[in-house]
Amino acid sequence: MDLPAAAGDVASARAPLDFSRVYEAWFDPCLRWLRALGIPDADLEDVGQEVFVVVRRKLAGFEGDRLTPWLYRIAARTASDHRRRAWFRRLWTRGSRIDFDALSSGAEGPAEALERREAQRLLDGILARMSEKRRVAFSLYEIEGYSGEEIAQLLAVPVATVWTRLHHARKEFLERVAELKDEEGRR
Amino acid sequence: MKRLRDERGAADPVLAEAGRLLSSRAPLPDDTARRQRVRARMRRRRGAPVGAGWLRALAVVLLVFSVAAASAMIGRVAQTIRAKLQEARVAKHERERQRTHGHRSTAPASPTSAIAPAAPTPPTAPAPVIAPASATAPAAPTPATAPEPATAPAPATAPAPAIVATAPIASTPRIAPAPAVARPTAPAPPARVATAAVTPPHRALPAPAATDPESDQARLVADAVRALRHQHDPARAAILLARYLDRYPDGVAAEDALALALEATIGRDAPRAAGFATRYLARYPDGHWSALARRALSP
Repeated sequence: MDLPAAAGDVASARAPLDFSRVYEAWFDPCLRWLRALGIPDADLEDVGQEVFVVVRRKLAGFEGDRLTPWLYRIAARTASDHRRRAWFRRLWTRGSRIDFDALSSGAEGPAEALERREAQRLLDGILARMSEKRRVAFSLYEIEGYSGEEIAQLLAVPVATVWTRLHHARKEFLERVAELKDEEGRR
Repeated sequence: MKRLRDERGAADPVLAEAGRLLSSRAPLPDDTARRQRVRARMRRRRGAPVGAGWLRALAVVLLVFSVAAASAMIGRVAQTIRAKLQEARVAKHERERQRTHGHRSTAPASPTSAIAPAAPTPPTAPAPVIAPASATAPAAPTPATAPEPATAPAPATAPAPAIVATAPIASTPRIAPAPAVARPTAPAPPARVATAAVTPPHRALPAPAATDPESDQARLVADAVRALRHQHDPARAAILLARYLDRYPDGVAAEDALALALEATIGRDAPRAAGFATRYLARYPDGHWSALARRALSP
């Protein structure tokens, strides 16, 4: 998956950034980042809106030439705020939220839908136990299909760092999967 | 590096399971409808009335002011309650004190106690102290005092206006200490008896809460002057002055208090006036108001 070029062009041309163009080019990638940052699918739209409200407010003051890391930092901070708010909200609502995207679409049979939801639950459980740096690199690479270079550009880190994080994340992930398999075997 | 999600059909069961888990979550696809939906929401939010932050700040300010006002109100109520409790305490103390005085005055059954029931003359007598004796003479004789010839005749009280006019008006305590004259004990009981008998229950006297004796002296004399001159209530003035003389027989304003008490009772209560005059002459034979005292004693 390639990062959008339009915004990069905008930034490199040093022209005043147009919010509409930035929004159109970066909204969907931003939702993918948010998902890698641990935001549930049900909250992606709301958090994405919050991100671009901040972007619209701060875009006039953006003077750098690397829009991608700037947007990613805003997304990461917004996701962090959202997680904190969600934690407080769960104290009152006991966390009973319905994820409508997780409901069966009817395109697959009940058994397949159940199997998929169970696999997603296990995957989320394993990812939730990872550190954020590893989880982001791993999710972007393994789930969203980003390349190592794109992740490095996004996170503003060297590519080698990304590979290192991916290596450790994969190792940890496989260990957790092996534990799961062992537990299944014991049952 | 090969992605784990592509290892779904690997021979290694762990790799295959990892591939299966990762394949359960597909990459998030681009969704134009979602993008436009969020954009529309953002436009609506932008068009919404601005100032949520201001409203929040205003709410905080209002909250702070409300808390402050509530605290002030609670403090004020507490202060009022404290003041009322203090008043009740003082009133109780005053009642007890009056009761004690009353017992003391009625116990000896002296001839003066016989006039006690007759002493309460109407406190709202409109006639000021400087009224002509002809006006006060008919009102003064109470059943008890009527037999006494000293007060009844007009000539006895006739000079009163002139004398009263020279009485100390601004009777703030003088700084010069009074001469250390032994307190005459004889005239004192009648004054005390009259004080206890005259005090109406509904008329609460100033609370004796002053801890400073000097301020208490000044307060008593000033209240007496106010009652005598402005409120035209000589009975109350006489009570206050009797109290002053009772508490501070050698006070700095003892001479003035005696003269004022004489003025308050002269023409109204001849026995008490005579008592005050006797006391005055005993202590201050050559005092500033000795002429008034002698005139009050003269038949």
